[in-house]
Amino acid sequence: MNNTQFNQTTDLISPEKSKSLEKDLTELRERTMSKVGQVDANYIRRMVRIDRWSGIVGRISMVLGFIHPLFWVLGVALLALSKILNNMEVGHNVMHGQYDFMNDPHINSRTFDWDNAGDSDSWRHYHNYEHHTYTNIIGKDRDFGYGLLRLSNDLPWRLKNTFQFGVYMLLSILFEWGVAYHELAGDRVFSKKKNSRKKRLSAEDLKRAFFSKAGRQIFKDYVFFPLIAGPMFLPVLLGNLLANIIRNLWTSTIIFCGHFTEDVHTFTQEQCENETKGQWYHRQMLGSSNIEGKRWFHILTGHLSCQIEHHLFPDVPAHRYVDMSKEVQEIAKKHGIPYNTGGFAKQYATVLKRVIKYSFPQKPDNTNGMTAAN
Amino acid sequence: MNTSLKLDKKDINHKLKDKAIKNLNLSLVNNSSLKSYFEPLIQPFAPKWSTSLFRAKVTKVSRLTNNVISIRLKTSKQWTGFKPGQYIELTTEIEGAAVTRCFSISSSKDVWKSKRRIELTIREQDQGRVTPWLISGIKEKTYVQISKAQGEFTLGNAPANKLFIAAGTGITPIISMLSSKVVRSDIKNIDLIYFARSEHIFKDRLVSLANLRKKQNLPPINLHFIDTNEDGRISLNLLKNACSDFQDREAYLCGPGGMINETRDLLESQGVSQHQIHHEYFGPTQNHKMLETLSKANVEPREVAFHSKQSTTQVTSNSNATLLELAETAELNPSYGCRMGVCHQCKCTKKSGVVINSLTGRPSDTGEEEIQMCISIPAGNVQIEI
Ligand code: FES
Repeated sequence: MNNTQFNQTTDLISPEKSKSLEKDLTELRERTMSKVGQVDANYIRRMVRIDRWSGIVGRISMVLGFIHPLFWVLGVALLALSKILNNMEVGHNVMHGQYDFMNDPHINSRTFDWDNAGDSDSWRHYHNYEHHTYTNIIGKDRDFGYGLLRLSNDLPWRLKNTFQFGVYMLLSILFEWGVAYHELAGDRVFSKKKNSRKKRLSAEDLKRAFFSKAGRQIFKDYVFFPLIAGPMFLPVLLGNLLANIIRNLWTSTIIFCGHFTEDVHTFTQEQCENETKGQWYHRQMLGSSNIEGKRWFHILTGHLSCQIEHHLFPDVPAHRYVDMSKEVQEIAKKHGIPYNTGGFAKQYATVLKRVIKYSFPQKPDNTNGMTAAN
Repeated sequence: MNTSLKLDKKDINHKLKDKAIKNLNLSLVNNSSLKSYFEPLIQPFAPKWSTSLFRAKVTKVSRLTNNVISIRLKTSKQWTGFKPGQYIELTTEIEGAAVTRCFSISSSKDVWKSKRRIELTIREQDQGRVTPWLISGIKEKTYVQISKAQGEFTLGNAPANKLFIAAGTGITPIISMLSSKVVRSDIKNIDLIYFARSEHIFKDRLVSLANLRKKQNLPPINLHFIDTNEDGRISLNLLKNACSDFQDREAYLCGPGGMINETRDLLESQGVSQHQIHHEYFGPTQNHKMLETLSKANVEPREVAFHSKQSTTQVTSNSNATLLELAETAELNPSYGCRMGVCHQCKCTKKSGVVINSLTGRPSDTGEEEIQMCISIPAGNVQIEI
């Protein structure tokens, strides 16, 4: 089957036009970076403190569940909050190097470790490099569908895709494990290809990193803390499990809203050869979508609610994205580039729609929203 | 043989234990050290509490001249002390970023022994934002981090006669030597030739030190204050006039590179042997020279040293190649991803030197910081840790 006729990838703007887009966005970046300083350092330190305190209080509160079950509920909620902050607003952003300017040995993209099954070092490699450089290029950005889901017609339909809604649900619940495993599995698939680039991490390194990180995470949440809770072993174990699941559902949902809403575009490898920086910017804008919300909501998403800004400026401190988004929208308008944003309910509904839509094969004449958008 | 084997075993056990503890910490709190996990939680209540380096409280900041500042620090109990002539690395936070600079201690060791107090003397340099900027981050009653004292520029044990030659703020380590007990009694002849442009900092302190020695009936310190505006730089005549037996002295030189090289050449040409001469580069750093060369950055050869745990590799750059490219030509296999400044895979630590950010065209700071190799072009000699 020839899928080019199904291809719904999008053309990038011409290299000439891309110059002025590049200029506008680079200027915005520069302007923002010149303000980065004490405010940002204080902000991230506060987030680190909230993350740690809620984790500590949450774990203690869970044990106090024997006094009243509400303590347990509160404990689970706090631990989930801690994990969400730790992974999203702190971990993800610190590991992108947004706070490296602080020269802080512990808030540093090279050393940070997060409360997540994925090994930070491997994640940094796949996410920061592959996903952010090759965003939504089919065959290069492994995060597109995580090798499990068919989310565009760029991939041929297979029978197993019919059940992909169930797969999606499962992936969401086990998200941290899904992502961690996917990196490992993906590497085997990709290593068949000749790659002149020297790999920093060999397949062996990756495997070792995966198992040692997985072991540590399991030891913490399902052995150590339940055990020291003594008679509260089971409630603590269940509470930890629940907190992990809450975090998984939340991160998965937010991330899917950032790249797999209905109108997000995909690209081919040929398109992106010899891409200019402006075209790269253009691709990032077309390949991401935002969620609107209140400040607390943005914080809980690690500002991935501003996925477009994050993809344009992955190393600008994320809490500045909300302000930047106003200007990015203006720039998008000026250059006639669609800016995909909406409330949480709306965006999430289109994610579900997309997952279901591509569960089934499309007819060639079945024009869809995406090609229409071009 | 046996003992060394035993030692090895001990060493291995120790390493295993360290590794196990690190793993446990990583597992429980996702941080390799429990202390640094708790640090941000504890510090708001106990500002003295710190895991890294040593904390010191700034007790006084005063201005000696219109561009020389003196900072008094109260060191913590843990701080291990210093030999007169040594320097420390001082780290403070400016605009959210930790900034580190080296400064010589200008106070006497005796004061530290009795009062746990040290003094640093810092010249503000107009060229670089570097030093004034650092000073803006140092306020009385706040805390800074300091390192252990470092440096080889210290007095030897031999009671040989001394000749100190200082230029400008190069006087700082020397005044610490002169005012500490080590030189008080056992040395017969001490001469200080001190060059400065019009204003000699610490002149009063030096004079009273000399007087004190006289009163105590100790061999004198002969002070020679030279105003470079009037009397020019070092010359054989000047040297002979100030200290006729200079060939027999142990010489301590401290000042800017040019002055040291000139003086060293002069001394050596007069038959002073190399191990008689100690020196420390000081004063205006290469900083402004580097800034000048920025425009010529792709013409002048620059030395880049890549340090790894195993070895050091020197590369000379004559082009505007990035550090990543330079490291690759040296076959160092640096890690990288996007090569466009996005992914931060190519991070390394710049120990010193200025690099230009190829995206913004802006020069970096001179001190230690994290940089992305793929967008950094060396603007002068640079030390990199990969
Ligand atoms: S290689 Fe990606 S930032 Fe340098």
